Amino acid sequence: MLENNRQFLVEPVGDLQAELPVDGLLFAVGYEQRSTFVARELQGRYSSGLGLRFGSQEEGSFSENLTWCDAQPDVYTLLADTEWSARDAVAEWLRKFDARDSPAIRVIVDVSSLSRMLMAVIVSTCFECSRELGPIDVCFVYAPAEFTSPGDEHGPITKFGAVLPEFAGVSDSALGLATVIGLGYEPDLALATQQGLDPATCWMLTPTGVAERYDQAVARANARVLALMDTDDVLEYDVLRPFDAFMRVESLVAGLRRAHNVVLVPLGPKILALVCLLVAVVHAPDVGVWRVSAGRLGESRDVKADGRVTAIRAVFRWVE
Amino acid sequence: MTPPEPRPDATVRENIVLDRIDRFNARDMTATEVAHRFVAPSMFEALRTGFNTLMIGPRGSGKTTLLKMLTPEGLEVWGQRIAGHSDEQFSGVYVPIDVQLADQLEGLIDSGLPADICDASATSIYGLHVFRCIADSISWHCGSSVRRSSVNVLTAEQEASIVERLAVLWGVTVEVPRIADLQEALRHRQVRSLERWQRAALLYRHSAKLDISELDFVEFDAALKGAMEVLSRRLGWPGATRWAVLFDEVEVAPVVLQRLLLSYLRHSDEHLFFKIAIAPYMQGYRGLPERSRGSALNDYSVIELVGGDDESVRRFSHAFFAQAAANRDLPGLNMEESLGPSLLTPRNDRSAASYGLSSEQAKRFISLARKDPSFARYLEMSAVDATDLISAKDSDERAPFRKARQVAIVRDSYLSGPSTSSRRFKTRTDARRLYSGAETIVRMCEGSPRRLAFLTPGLLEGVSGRGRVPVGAQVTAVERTEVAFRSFLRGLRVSDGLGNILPRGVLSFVDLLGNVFHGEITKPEFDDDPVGSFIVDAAAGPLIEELIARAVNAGALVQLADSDFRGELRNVSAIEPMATSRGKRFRLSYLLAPNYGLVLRRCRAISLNTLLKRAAESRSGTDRQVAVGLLTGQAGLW
Repeated sequence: MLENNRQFLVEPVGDLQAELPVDGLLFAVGYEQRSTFVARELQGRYSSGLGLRFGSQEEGSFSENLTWCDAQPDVYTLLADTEWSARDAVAEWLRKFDARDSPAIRVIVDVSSLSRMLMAVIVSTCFECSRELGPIDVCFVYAPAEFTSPGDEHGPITKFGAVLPEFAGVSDSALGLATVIGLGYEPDLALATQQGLDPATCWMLTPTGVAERYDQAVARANARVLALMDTDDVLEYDVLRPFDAFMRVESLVAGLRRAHNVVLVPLGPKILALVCLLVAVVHAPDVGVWRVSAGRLGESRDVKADGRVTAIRAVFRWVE
Repeated sequence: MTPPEPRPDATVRENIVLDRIDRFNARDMTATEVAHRFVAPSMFEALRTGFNTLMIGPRGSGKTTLLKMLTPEGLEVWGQRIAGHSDEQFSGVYVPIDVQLADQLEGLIDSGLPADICDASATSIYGLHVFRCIADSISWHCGSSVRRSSVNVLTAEQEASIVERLAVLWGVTVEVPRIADLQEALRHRQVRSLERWQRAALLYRHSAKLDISELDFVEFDAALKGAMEVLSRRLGWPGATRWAVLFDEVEVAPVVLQRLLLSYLRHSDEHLFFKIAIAPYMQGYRGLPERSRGSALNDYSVIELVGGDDESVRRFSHAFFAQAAANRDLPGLNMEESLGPSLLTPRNDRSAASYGLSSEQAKRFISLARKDPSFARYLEMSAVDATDLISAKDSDERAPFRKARQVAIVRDSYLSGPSTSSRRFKTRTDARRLYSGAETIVRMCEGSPRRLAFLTPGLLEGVSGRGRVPVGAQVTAVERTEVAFRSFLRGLRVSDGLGNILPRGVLSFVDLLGNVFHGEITKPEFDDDPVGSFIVDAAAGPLIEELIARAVNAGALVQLADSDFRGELRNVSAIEPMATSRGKRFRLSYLLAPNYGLVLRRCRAISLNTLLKRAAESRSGTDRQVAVGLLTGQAGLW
């Protein structure tokens, strides 16, 4: 449970270079070539790199990514195939850092190829560990991918629920449900999500700023659900400006909470999943963050980073 | 950005609500909002009796609406709308399970803690939720509440007395004896209980140690019954001396809770009884000990929300349409007149309009006979003259037509002109026009309030100056409703085992069925009773059970009577929750018929195993893959 006696600060990051060097960098070692892009770019600017392996779908660029990690003296990898192994891996990594001579442990987390569950584990564990280790200053970074056309199918839905139990959200049975659904380019997945949750009110978040072809693909994939929506309930967010996205989602949620139970379902770019988790922390424990996915049965699509990196900072602090 | 204002009350924004994608679920409305738009179905009177009741229906069949209408708030508002409906024998406490609570309970059961601890924790968390629902119900009668009754209101002293007693019973402390403080204290305890459980689960995974004293357990059963006794004794007005706890969406609860709640159907005393709404398939009913299992004959009554008689469904649908029209400032609009007659399912198949030579129906028969030699042979063998039905005095002469009518019409829509070398098929766009007209739309909605609520705004958008809805607008509205339903099926969660076989989840299976049944209608030799339903084999394994359970509870499959001679209803011996699909017979929901080109009537059944074997030889790669996967999964069992 994410208690409100935890202090939490979210800030924009103007220049990533100004954040360096840092104590550590955490990233995924997955099938996307993009998963090690930031780790390679920032090589030498962090003292301990942790690559989390999923234990499944080890295909595409996975071998190449793993080989690169193994060759780096300051990088190690751990298997994070379950919620519990992931919590252990992240906590163990954070405990490596000594913050006695500095105001906070300072790390970078590259969310580009992390699963939503792993992102939630990182956010949750940062809070847990801040109790023991002091403030943890995390610069979350995201590297957009080069555009590749979406597949016709997104696989069977095998995960439909909270990303972690502490992100289920606590409901009030007297209130209706409000959902905020991020749009991705999986055909009709947002409509399926809306129909599955069957909310009293539904808002959609459309990503912009990545690439025109991506915007078009998102519009095509969601044409049917968007046709059913009031245009006032469809908001845009700029993928390359995560702090602005955070402010937008947070203010939307703050309004919705007055009369609804709120569940956020960040389909689409991973940066929105992070933004939603941060918003849920602000409104803990009431607001839920859910995932709707095929899990390991989903299509694995190897993608390359397009070279841009965007960032947002969160400071986790425990106050007794 | 300016934060959105809370949405205005639905009583004010009724016209707006109808046009939006959301708010098709009574779950998200207050009882007042539900009562303002309530159209009473035929079974409502039976539900209002003061006996234990088990209400069975799939998603969208109106369970939540009906239960909310049994609360003091719902009945009070409705009583003001409809005179003569305010004298109640009991008061109802509505207890839903929302998606967040369901997810928390599921997470708790799967947390890895010992099973008995998980069960006790889930019962406690749910218990605290039930207490919150009771407190919400009381708040309707409290002068300190913002939304409250205009009829039965407690004095401040009465409110304080009840709050203090309930706080003691439920183990919470209130600073001020007001209902809002009790609600807040219960919420606080529920949040802390969840937190303690999550921390315990975390520590247990790390150290395999569990300190039970750290967990918060609630004596659910005693605290529930004790609370209802407090209310029965302390609320003075008629109808408040006996309480019904109205448990909704029980099928999404963990099995341990399903069994506990179903066992309450055996309980009834002077203070308390239960009404429970469930989806047709209830895993928890399997394994419920006989001593806990009530009898549908002695302990509770059963109300089935799907499969009602045609006339009840028709009356309800027409009333729903008329009220939706009135809410949209279109008073007096009649469904039959607005949507017009149906070709596929005419209401009166004996009329001259139906069988006259110039009727659309006769034209279709003649058209099909010209281009389909097998249909011409069928007519010949039946000794019926398709061009002269109207002059046939003996209605028996029309009997073959009544049986074959829908099949012939659908077949005609898909079969293109005569061809000597091969049969040609039209696109399905033409055929969609078949699924219009009042009677056909009523039949496709199958009495489901949710389908009507989704479809009606689309129909009303197309109303012309003379109150008619053009066929094109009807087709668009039906298609939109069907797309949303298919998307819902697409998004249904399945296990990894099923996911490995079904690339689009439950929808893959539904598509397979639809394609097989359509193939039966358009196969080379005309068949007046094509295969259109299936019976699950006695040896069906867990994957098939899961698949059927999900499809039935979602409303994609409808259970039919096992016998083949009549009716759509499940048979009398089946007036219990379905705990297994084995040996049971199902058809596809009629809402799915336009997408595949199916008829809207009960058709012949074959075993699911046989059906899958046919699909395994299908031209469709996806159907073939799904069928082979399901057959392979069953190979050791069949």
